[in-house]
Amino acid sequence: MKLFLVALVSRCGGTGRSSLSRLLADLLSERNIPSCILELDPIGHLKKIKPSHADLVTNPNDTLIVPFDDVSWDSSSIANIRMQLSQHHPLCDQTIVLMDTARFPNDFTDHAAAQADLVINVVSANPESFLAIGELQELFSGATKKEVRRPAHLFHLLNQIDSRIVLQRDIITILRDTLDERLLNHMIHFDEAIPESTAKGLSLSSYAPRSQARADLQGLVNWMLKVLGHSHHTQDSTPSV
Amino acid sequence: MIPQSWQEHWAEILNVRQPDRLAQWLLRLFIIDVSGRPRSIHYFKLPNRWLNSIHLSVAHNLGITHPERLRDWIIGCFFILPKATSKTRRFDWLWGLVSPYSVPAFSKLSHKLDVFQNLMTPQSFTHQMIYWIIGLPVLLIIISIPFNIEQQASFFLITLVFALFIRRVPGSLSNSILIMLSLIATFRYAIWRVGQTLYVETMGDHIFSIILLLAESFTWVVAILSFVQTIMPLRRPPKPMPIDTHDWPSVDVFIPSYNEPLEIVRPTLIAAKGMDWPMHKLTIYLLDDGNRDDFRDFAEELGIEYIRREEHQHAKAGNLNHALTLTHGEFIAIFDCDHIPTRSFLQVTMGWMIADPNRALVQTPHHFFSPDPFERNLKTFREVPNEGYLFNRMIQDGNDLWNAAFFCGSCAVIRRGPLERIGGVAVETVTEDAHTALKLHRLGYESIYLNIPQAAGLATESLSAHIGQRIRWARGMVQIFRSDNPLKGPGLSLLQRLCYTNASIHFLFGVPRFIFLIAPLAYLFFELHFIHAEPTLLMLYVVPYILHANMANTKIQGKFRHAFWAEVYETVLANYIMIPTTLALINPKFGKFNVTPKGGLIHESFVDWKISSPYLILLILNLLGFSIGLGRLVFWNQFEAQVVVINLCWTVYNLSILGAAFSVASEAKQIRKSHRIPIDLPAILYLKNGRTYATRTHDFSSDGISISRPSGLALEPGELVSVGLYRGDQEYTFTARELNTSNEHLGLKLTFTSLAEESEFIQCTYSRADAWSTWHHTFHSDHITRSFKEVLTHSFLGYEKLFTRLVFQLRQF
Repeated sequence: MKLFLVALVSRCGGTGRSSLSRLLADLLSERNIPSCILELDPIGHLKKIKPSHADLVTNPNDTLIVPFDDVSWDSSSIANIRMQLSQHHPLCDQTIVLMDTARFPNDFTDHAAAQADLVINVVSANPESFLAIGELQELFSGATKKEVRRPAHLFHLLNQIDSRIVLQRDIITILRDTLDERLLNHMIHFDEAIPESTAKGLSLSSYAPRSQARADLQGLVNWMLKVLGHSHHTQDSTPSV
Repeated sequence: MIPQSWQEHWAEILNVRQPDRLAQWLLRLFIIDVSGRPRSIHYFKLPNRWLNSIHLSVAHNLGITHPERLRDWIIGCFFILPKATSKTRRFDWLWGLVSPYSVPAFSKLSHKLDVFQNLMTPQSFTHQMIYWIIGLPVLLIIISIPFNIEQQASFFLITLVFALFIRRVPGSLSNSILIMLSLIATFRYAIWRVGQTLYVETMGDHIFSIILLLAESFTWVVAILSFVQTIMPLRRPPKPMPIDTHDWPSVDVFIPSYNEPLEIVRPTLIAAKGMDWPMHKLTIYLLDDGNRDDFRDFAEELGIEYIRREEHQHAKAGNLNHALTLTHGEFIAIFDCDHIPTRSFLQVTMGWMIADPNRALVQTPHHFFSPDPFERNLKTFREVPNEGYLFNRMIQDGNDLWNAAFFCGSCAVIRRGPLERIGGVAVETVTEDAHTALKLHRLGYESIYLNIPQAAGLATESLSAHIGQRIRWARGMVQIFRSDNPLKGPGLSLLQRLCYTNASIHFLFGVPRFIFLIAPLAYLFFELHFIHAEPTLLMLYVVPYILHANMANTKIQGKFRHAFWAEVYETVLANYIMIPTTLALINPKFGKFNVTPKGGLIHESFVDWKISSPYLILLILNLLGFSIGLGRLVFWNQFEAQVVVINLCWTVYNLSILGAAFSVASEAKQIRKSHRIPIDLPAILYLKNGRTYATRTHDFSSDGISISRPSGLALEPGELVSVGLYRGDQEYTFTARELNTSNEHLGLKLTFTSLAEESEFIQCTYSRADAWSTWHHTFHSDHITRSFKEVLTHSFLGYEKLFTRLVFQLRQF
């Protein structure tokens, strides 16, 4: 069984890792691609917003959601996330596991990043992000930890951008300059439709099918499937808007 | 080795391995077996040492590697010898043509024709001489041999069928064949016409017959010269720039302006400022000849140079020359003040310039994003190629083959050194641009034409302005022909002379066109018999001439000028340029520069009676002639029915062209000040409430944009939104107000808060490198019958307009 691990990491809070993992899972399930959200954040709130009686929560689109508290993580289980998942959860082949991690530096994040097929660093276009990127690159260049050394799979994703803010435009230019091809061309626009759809308990696609954020996310999903070499990428085309 | 018999001898030469099989002999006669060893069999050796050395040098010139072989000589004289390693069979094309086993598809045939063409292309002087020596007499015989009716008819049928077949074959050789057929038809007609049809009786007949012949010979000359110009357009690709930007030269951009409003010049200046080039090597100069302070202030605000001059001699040329004395850039790019350059303009054009210091000029096409009067009044915008398309996209490219592409006053780059050497931009004529290029060519400089629109501007607004501009061009080109005749003077190659000559005498079409419009009337009104020929024979000469010319033109320039449209364009202009060109021909000093007005509004549809009066008179005369002709068929003087019918057909043709011309003269309403340009790009719509929508643009203008409306989205009237557009990867947003909402589209009015924002908008729209590259994709494809139908339709509409206008005018009384 092949599992694709995608780690969503970031240095700062509030960059939108959790909502991003949920949005991506929604879009994947729309395309009938099995997906799973794995929370690797001790202070995460996936559990809180879901009914407490269920150990394994499944959302309406049949995405498997594994909150942090549902797994008894120890040093051996965290060292092999794949095995942990496949032994205890009914996952099918070619499932994309979106790992919603804690802010780094953090042990869980390090492990997740080390085992992931793809690490997406979620950045907001604000001044803080410069610092964070420096740190992350250092982390991934192997200067701090030996086992975490897979810079080939690290990409940076700009989230919640609003081009109307001139400062953001400048920051994007600078980021593009420093990160070069590591900065994804797919940037996710800031869109009120995202929180609104969550509040209404709807997926973004059904709540705001023509929104720019959804279009951006579709592009990101296409890219992700391609980079992962997911079998779906070859057969599938983007669902029409 | 001495061969035993002639059979073995030839078998050896032709490499026939089984001499008893006839098929092999036939095959080897046409297809050379290159697998065999090279043999050295001496056919002849010249006795004299001198003769021998001449013989060898000619052989060398022809690329014959074995001068002792007779066959090599035969082949070497007519075909280019392939390289020794090449395995191509030299006569494959012939085999393909005659082979009974497979009928080659046209594309396959085209490939074979290409191979043939490669073989036939003369590469040395000797080759050319051989072609001329053999080809010319054959041609002369074909065009001059007199035929009777049956012979001419069958000859016509054969060439017609051949042309119909060959025109389907893509490639340039089929173009050349069609041109050749057209030339044969033209020459046959011309020779017959001059030799056999001039025996007229009365004095009046005589005079008119000579006039008509002169008019006709003008069209023959122009047609032949046009074929020279368009036989093989070069279609040059851009040359890459040096990688190191330090090697890029300094460029001055001149934008001359005289009386245009600032809102038209604004986008040009902003776009010029945004061209991609090393910053310290690019200087933009606004050359204001109107001493306007708001222009000076705007130039300062934008951060470009501003030049104004005390006296205003020599109009645009003087303005440019004045700036030339004050600036120092190595190259000068010139844009008319309404031609908005794309950001890539310099990088596309400068590669060729940098590569060779002998290149003095790079010209790109003039492209117009607004409809010209023809397109607006006939509603053919982006469906039928406009009047300028043929020149800008075809003739200049064809001139380029002969190093004769000339400067068109805008969208061009000139090297400063050569320009200063000829004393700056020419001031002697009113078409300073072409004359400047002529002077550069005379000094041996090279010109380049890049057929990629890299700037776009406004077409002339009203028909009167359009005609005014064409009068200036016509007058200027004729002035050049008179004062600096390209046929005389030093420095030009023969073909450059021909190209320039055609460019200048082409504008003399006014008088001949007028003569053709009234010629049938001379017969119908006054019974002048100006062509002494049997009607059937006349048709058998004229029809092939017209058909072949149209077929060749449709094949060669169909994408840029539809058949029969030239007649409409020329007829509209003929009456107006007739007198100025004739005057200029008599005395080139006559005439002054008039600036082409641009950016006007036409609030109400109206008929420009003043402009259309010449067509009206001609129209009425032709109608009268037509009724007289009908009368002659039915009531009186019925002895020349055939002649009457021919003249009636001619009149009907004239009437249909005149109808279309009148249709052009009735101006359609033009309410929008800035033109909307269709564009399909991703766009983002931001609402005040934080929601975003992914949409696409529909069209834009300098201060507005229309996007496709996301389903279900309704904006309040005047609601403030933002629109995001991309320039490369970078997204720019612009605030806008809702202007109108339709089912599919949202019309937004942009409210720029700063010059930087306006500049960004221009960068995202007008200045994109690919902004104009797919413009002609919306044109209908050309087809003779369809084009004729188009012209007829417009002609009919013209008559309809005329009728309603007349009724309207009558009611006024």
